[in-house]
Amino acid sequence: MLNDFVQQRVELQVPEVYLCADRDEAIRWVQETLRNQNLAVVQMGFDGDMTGSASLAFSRRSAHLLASMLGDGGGKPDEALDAIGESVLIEVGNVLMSGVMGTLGNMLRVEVHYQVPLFLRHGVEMMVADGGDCAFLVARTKLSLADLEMEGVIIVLFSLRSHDAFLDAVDRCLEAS
Amino acid sequence: MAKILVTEDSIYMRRVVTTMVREAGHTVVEAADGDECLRQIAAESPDLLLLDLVMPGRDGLSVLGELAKSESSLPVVVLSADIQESVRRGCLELGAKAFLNKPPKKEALLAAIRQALGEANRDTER
Repeated sequence: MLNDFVQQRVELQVPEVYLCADRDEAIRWVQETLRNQNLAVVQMGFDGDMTGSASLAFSRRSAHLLASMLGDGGGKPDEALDAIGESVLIEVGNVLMSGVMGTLGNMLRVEVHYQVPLFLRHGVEMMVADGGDCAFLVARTKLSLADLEMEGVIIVLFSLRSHDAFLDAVDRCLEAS
Repeated sequence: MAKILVTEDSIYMRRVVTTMVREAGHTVVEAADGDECLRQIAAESPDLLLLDLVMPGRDGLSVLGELAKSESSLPVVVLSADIQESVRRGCLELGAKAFLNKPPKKEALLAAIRQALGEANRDTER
């Protein structure tokens, strides 16, 4: 998917996936991965058979790289992304997160309906802002694009009720295999 | 060549798709959400609709539903990041001629447009 955007080979490290016990642990995961760099975050809500949100965080540096490669924009690297840059990130986030959630949905035979993805300007805390009674599925990976190394973290946040539905669906999938 | 309505809320993706379509020689009309899409269909009488699904306000499935209800003959090609099989099936059942995942490969997009326009012309001739 990402290589279709940038028309170059994208190498993806095997992602680490972790189920975090609470909001604070999820925040620590993101901060450890992105080493407290300024973040560019895209978030997409979903409902249906499962309810929650998926968020994709890039370091600001990686976000500017992507924006300049795809959108001929982005603005200055040490400044906030411009409108085209945000639009690029939102669409990349949309495709990546839809890919993750859609793969889960197809495999587990559950269906979700997506909300319009949003660009978050307030960093990692906003990724898990609604995390009161939620479980957090965190996947972190590194992307290598040509000679550029980019880091991204995806967090999928399920409501507690959906967390149970998710685990039930995993059990059914394993029993059927 | 055809007049094609591109309905997509993302500024970036709308630019990518309209560029592909214009470079193929078609005329492009744009809409950024479902309500604007329906207005443009009434005002511009496009030959084909390229339709995103997730948009603010009226979404793409709602547009497909409206077109099906009015028995519109406008051919629709859906462009979506959604890879769920159930969603693809639902769009085709509502009358979409094709469902492509984003980002679309240029040749696949243009082939889907050619096929949908060709089918529409054959239906008109009958």
